[in-house]
Amino acid sequence: MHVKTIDQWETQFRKGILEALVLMAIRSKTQMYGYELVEFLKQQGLDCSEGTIYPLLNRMQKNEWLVSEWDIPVGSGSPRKWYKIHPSAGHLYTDMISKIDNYQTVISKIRSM
Amino acid sequence: MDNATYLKKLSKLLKGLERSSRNEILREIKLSLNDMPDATLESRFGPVEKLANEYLEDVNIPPSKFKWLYVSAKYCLMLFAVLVIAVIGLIYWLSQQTDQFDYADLQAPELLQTQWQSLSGVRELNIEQSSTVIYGSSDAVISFSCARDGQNSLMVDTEGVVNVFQNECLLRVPAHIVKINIEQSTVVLNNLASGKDITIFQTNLRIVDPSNYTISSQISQCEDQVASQTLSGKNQLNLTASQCLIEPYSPKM
Repeated sequence: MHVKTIDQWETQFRKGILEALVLMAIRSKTQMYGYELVEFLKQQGLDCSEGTIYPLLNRMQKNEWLVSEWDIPVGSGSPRKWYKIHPSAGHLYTDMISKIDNYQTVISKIRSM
Repeated sequence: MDNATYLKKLSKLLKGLERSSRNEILREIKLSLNDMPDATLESRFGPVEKLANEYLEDVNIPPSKFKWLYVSAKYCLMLFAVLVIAVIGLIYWLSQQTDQFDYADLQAPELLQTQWQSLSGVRELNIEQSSTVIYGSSDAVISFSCARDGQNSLMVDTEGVVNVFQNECLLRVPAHIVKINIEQSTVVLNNLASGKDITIFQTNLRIVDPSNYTISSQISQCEDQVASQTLSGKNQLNLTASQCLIEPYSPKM
């Protein structure tokens, strides 16, 4: 029998929650690029590798939750791919936050019993 | 792994994606080097295979242009395997087919219904490259029934020798025919009269009820499963044999 380890459980758990956190983070800054997002999440206490975040941003863009735009600076500085919330993903963001809040409430209730 | 190799390998692993999408990913990762110029891509993004898998997750890879070739080859191989198995099965089945006729049973219907032909003036019997059953007989002449050439399959030469060559025969051999030479054949001996001189070479000799015989033998390079020299039956056989298999007859053989 296959025994699920805590790492496997966390991988599944993170998948959904990470998408919500990325949406929240980008919304808070209006737009972000990959490396900035990884550093931002680290500062908030979530250690995510770039190998996780970059493909995630790519998938969220394909799902039309995010849009991206290359910013090619004039003169010095390197081009960056900036991500913003997709105009049609406003509802999705609201629904996601509502569901997370709901889970949080349930967790709090049960834990306080 | 240096950064150039990492990107090259990633590009290869992402072949399933559309070119524009792949180029976009590679460009983004390559330009991210500007954010941390001192760190390698491998140390930041992890093993390249894992990264590629992350990008390919939830992606339906379009079928390759050469998929038909792959599928055809696969079905050809499967068909070939089935044919090989069928041929092996057929060979095995054929090898398991045994002659159900019990040559040891002198009252077997097949034997009683046999159309026998007779030959007189026979002194000696030569059997070569044939499958033959030799029955001892109290008749005055030799009688035979052969699968090939019917009545004319066996002839007596001027020396009184009958040659059985490349044939399948049942032979009823009277007591006065003493000398039997057998070469490269399969022969069953049943109820032979005493006093026969049998010479065999490269032959499978099967003996019905070996315990009926006393065999004095000169054997070389033979597998003697009847332990011919230990027998002490009433009928005497003189056997000279080389490169042979001597075994007791059983109808399922």
